[in-house]
Amino acid sequence: MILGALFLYSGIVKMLEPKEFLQSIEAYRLVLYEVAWLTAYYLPPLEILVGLGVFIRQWRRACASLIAVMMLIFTTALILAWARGLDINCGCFGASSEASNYWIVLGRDLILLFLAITVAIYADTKASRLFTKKFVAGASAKPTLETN
Amino acid sequence: MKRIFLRLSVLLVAPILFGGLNAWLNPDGPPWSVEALAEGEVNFAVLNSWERSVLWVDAREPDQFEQDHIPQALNLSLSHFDEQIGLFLEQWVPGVPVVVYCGSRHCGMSKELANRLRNDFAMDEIYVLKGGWDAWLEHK
Repeated sequence: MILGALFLYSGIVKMLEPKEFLQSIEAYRLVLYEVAWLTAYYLPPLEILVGLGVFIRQWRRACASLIAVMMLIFTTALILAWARGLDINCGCFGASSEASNYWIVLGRDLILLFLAITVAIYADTKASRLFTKKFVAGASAKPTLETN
Repeated sequence: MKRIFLRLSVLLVAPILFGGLNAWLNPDGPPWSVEALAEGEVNFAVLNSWERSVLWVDAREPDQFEQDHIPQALNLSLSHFDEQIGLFLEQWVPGVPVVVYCGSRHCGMSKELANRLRNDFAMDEIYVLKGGWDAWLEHK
């Protein structure tokens, strides 16, 4: 749920501000301008779709797998920028003039990567169905009055 | 297994359509080519065609400005905005275009500074030098 909501939010913010997102991609100095431009338009709808897909049981595994791949790419890009001493804003949730703290962003990326891999592996398995039944469905069930 | 590949294909192809629509429906979006100028950007070809003087504003940090800068440029960085804005306002003459630059085409400080000057002081002739300091080094 957290994973889906984060990607949905991040995709919407980036889709509304393509110029700022393009600038964030450019700041990494990893790809040509044209590739950065294509990414600035391609990535936000992809994030929105995978964010939505995580909420749908049949699509959960595919979406979580894609999120894991994306998180691997984002983390690699971040480490490369860090290694080259670039003072960048990560561009993870739209534009910001503040330079990112690499430790915080890297930690967050790794947590999200772990979450995505976990969801991709355990989505729609017997264990996850049991968990959902016990905790999610159990929590939403209406309490009944004991009469005897 | 076949289903998951089908879903992955849909997920990977659909954003091309949505992204394409977003680019098509938003003409104010960033230009496709690195050579093209976005709104409010100028390059030396445009500046030469103006045939009038401009006020150069260097949006880089003071230490970078001290090392080298465009002749007659004023330093006005976002991090020292309050200290440096006074000198800028003294030098600024209405009717003279202001051209802001930062380190390279990868930096966003010049755009942010130009937006701030437009919003805070209602200046309309404020432009950003495409390519920033790197473009100046190539040009001079």
